[in-house]
Amino acid sequence: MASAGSGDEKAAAAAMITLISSDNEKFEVTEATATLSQTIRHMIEDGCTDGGVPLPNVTSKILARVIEYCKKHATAAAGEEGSSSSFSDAAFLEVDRAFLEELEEFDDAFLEVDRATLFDLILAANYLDIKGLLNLTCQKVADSVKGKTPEQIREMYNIVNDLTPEEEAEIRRETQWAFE
Amino acid sequence: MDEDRRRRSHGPADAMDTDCISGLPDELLHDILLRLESTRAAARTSVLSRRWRHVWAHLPELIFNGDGTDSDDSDGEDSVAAAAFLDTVDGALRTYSAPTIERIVISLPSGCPAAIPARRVGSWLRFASRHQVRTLSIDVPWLPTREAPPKAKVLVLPTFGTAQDISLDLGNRWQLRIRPASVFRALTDLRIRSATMEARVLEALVGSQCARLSNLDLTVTLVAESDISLRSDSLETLSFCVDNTRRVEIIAPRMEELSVSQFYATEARISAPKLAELVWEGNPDAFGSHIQFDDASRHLRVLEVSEISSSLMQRFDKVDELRLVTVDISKKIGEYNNFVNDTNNLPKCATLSVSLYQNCHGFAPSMLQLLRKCNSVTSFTIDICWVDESSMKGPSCPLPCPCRLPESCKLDDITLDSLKMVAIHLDKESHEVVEFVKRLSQCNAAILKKVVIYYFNKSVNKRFCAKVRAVCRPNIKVKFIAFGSD
Repeated sequence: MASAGSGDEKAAAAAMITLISSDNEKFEVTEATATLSQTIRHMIEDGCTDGGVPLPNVTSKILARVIEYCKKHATAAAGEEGSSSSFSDAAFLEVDRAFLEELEEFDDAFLEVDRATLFDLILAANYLDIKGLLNLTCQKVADSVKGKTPEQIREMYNIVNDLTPEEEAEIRRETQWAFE
Repeated sequence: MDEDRRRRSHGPADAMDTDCISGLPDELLHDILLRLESTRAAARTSVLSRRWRHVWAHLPELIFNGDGTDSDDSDGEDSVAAAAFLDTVDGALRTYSAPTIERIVISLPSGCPAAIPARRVGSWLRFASRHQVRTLSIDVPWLPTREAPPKAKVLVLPTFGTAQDISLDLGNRWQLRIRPASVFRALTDLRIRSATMEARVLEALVGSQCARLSNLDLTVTLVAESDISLRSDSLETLSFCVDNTRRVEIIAPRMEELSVSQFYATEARISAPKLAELVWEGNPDAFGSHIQFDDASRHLRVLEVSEISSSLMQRFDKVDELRLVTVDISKKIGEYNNFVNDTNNLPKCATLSVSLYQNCHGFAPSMLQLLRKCNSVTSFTIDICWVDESSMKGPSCPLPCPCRLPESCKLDDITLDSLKMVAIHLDKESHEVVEFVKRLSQCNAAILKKVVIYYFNKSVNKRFCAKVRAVCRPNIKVKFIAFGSD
């Protein structure tokens, strides 16, 4: 790769992968974007991406969002590689900081979704093995639960309590140390 | 209760009405629960519904943070908070139901009273051992020596066949004992801090019970003053702070990094043919310690010292990176002269970094003296941890002062053929720094093109910038980088 001319580099950068959602919609993405998913990275390494990558567990609606995330973060990854060698340079530090802030804003806006979509994103991030997206979405759920009582959590997530009062009392006794 | 259970929220969208979270697979629920950073909060989810009852009890990690989310919420006394914390740990370990666990981290509240029974911590260790833990960390706050019982109770470390990483900080409370028959087959990283041990127990542990140990970090006091001999064929890095020693022997054919602190033994014999990085805190010469490196190369990658010990310095001819950490350059003339004498012993180095604590006085002549002696450096970094208030305004040193001696200010004997860059880290503007940069730029340093000043403050003081720029020769680029504006 290192010895390749600029023409080859361009070709590599433009290598496209087709992702196919469960409802048969096709998405063309660059390899750099697609390989944020470890699952897809392994498929590319094994050479099984010709004719598209079927993703039977991901709907087009969710896949579109996942790709949006990957596109943004693939650019970020490329930016980091480019500037890491010049850490001592003030100009680069400024660029890094601005870029990270922009990325954070993107992530915050990205998480503005309804609860059902959030959980679909978690499942998709898990299936596609996209660490950053899984961190982001699971953290959002954890933050929403933090500091809440079981009653509040049930209400927030519509969890039906199917324990009998006796069972619940028994569990509370067992885990009394957690409630005191 | 019944009403509560039947109650459903009636959100605007129908998607809001279904329970999405309970449908997640256990591994994802674990991921979310671990992010609560509280074992108590995780365990409270067991009453949500039948689905949730055992989810927390199979978490791959149990983390108890006594000063964080697992501490008692009330502002009660330390002893009450500590007792509640111990009950939490005991309760959680009793209720935990998976057969194995990846990681256990227990850090006790910092205000822990003296009376924590060794048997309680012992039961946690046995739990971890039974559950084939891979990573174990127990951190007990330090007990001042005057509060420690005259004879430390014994804590026995059971066998950990699967653990790869064990870290025990026993807070100056117990004597750690390991049975001779125990083996730690998978252990690669071990840290024992603030514990007392018998020399022979430590010797056996390192020498024969941990065949794969590569990183060892010891802050240990020997039960009785004794000789100690550490021999390991697997050890790669060693941090050695062992008190109550007479003669020390370290034989580690694969060891590349050695860090020694608080060394008061009479002698040390170190066999480490691969040694590349050496950190020595304190001055062995000051305690009359005789240090012998049998077979180490005379060329090190890194040498870091807090004092310029002539015996250590003379052992090594060449160092890629020489770090002088928190060196003390005193105001008194006699001590300044000692410093000048000490610098005669510095090995050749390519990168020189100096960190100064508090006293910025005599800064410019001291730094020039270092450059005079280390004239082959390509890069020179100075880290000033705290700038003396008085040095902000201007020179205020009393007479007589080393920085006013004529020989300290001489520049014509300094030739810096390789020096390319000087970096200075500081948090306040300093007259002494301006003075140093001025003299530096007058030195014979043809290829020096860049001076970078890292400024740990909200914004760079413009006047300071202008002053530094004004004293620099025009072909040196001066760059200011401000941190800490977050």
